[in-house]
Amino acid sequence: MDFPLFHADLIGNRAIIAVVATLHVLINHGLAVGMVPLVATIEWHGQRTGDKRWDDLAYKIMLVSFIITTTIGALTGVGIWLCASLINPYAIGSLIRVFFWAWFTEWLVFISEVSLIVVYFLTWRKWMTPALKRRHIRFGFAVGGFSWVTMAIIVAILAFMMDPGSWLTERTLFSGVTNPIYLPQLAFRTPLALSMAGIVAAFLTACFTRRDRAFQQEALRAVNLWPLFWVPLTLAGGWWYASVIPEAMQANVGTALLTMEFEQWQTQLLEGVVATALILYLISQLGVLRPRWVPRIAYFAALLAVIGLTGQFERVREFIRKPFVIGQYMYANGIRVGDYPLLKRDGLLRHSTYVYPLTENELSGVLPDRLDRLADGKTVFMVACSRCHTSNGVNSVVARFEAMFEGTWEPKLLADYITNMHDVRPYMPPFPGNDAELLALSDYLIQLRTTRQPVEGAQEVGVAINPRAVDAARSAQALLSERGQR
Amino acid sequence: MFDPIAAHEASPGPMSVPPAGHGLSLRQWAVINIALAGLLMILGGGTPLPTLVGAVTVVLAAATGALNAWRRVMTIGSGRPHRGILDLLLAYDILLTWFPGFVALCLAALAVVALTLWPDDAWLRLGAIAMFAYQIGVIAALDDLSGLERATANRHT
Repeated sequence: MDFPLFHADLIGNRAIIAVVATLHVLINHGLAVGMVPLVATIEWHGQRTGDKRWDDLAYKIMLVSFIITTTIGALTGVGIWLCASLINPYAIGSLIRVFFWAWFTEWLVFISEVSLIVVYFLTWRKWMTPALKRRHIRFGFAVGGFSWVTMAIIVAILAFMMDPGSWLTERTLFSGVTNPIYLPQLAFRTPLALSMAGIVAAFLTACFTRRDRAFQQEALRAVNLWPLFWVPLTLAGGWWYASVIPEAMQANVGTALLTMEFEQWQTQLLEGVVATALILYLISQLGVLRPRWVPRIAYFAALLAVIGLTGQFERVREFIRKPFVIGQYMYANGIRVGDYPLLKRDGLLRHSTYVYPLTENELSGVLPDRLDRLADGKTVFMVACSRCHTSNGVNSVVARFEAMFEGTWEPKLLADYITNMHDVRPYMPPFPGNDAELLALSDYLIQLRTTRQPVEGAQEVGVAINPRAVDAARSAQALLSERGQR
Repeated sequence: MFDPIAAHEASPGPMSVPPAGHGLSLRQWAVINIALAGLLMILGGGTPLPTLVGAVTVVLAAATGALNAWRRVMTIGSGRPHRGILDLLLAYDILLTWFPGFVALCLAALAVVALTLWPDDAWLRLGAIAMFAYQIGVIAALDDLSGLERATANRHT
């Protein structure tokens, strides 16, 4: 509550970070962590056989990976930081405090990885003597190693957000890193990245070797062997990962797979996921056995399918940890679990540094006696709801209530529901404020439904310092000085 | 330079010749046997018979496949000096010889397990039997996988 809140009311804050983060994961896993070892292996194979066609193929695949990772990959990598800091500064602040040295190490490894990947790619055509070629191949494996280490560090943080484990009592970096989900998630993501790379490389190989059919078959056979080998390990890692996910999170899977409206389709969707994964695997299998029977469009379809599956996995992972953004420590609205008793007693508004005044559009037609209450309701909405919900956009709070109450919107009815919503929907955090704020929020929601006005974030309409928070801070300061004098 | 794929395309594989009895090739016999096993499994319905047929077929395919793969591995790289345990070509050839068959066996076995786990789901049964038949077909076709040709190539070079 100490930061002015950015808010995207049309597509929602979640969608922004979901798009940026998923894109980054796809590039990081499929074109860096998994791809560089595969490319280096192909290059090594070319050197051992003395067949230059392998080297050319590896170079072309690396060219695609290099361009995408150093442009979209790098931008989305920085973009995740920007989005996370804008959308949930409290969560990112807490994570930085816990993982400061881990992130610092990751930054050093990342810089090394970027330097190595530049050296690896730019020296490809220059280091052609046997000794230099061997060194070049070693560079390739080193890039792969560094990419994996960056992923391994970030996975520790992602796993921590799901289940901090003993960190909740010990509060040390070591206990944060050694959380219960870390190794299982790493054991899943590592072969997943290698499998994805194989599927991407199969499509690229089918494109790059069109003019040499005999080599194309040999190359496709070799490249398809890669996912054929790694996919079973991905399944084994996935099994381990699924087995350590807490029960409360597993209960969220139904909603996480699609949306609340499609909860009952959970079984069908899971069957679809299994069938898609099986078809992907069969394509790789046929690609090894009879490469010429697999058309290029099948590799392209496999590529799209693996993008879809990975995107879906990331969505589920992000959603199931709700109502928390950091398991058992911080709710998705950015308020710490430990602060709830204080906020329930004093109210949210007393501890919110900023308030979000009503805009001109919101003010029009409102009776003067309702203005203060609506203004309070807006600030409560921004602090407690807006990290996940929009007013009338994606995941609209108005649409949610309309689906439940249809025409009968009464402040008391809404307030009663909000008080108990975390029991009905376990992925919702409890309401953090007091009863007066609850009624103010209900009033504001009714106003949102009536006017259909968008709620603009601090980036558009700015914020104002909250006088109640200033008073509270002064009182606290006075109390402290009084105690000091005693 | 010797091209193993072209050599394979040009040469009659062990599955395509010689014609066995009654004028059918080994490949044709394999297809007939797999089709018959699949039909038996479909007609067997929910009884233990389909599982038994599937299990016996998987065991036989595993034994035959292992024997063929072993023979092939024994010839890999026999014509050139080895470069220690990290010999990539050797590792690749061995993986290419063993792994696709191993995967096919696992998938065929999984299909048989699916038959026992969901005996009442007609669509799943049909899917499992189709997967089983496909994977057994894959094992039968593995005989002419490039490992053999590559080994031959290595011997020739």
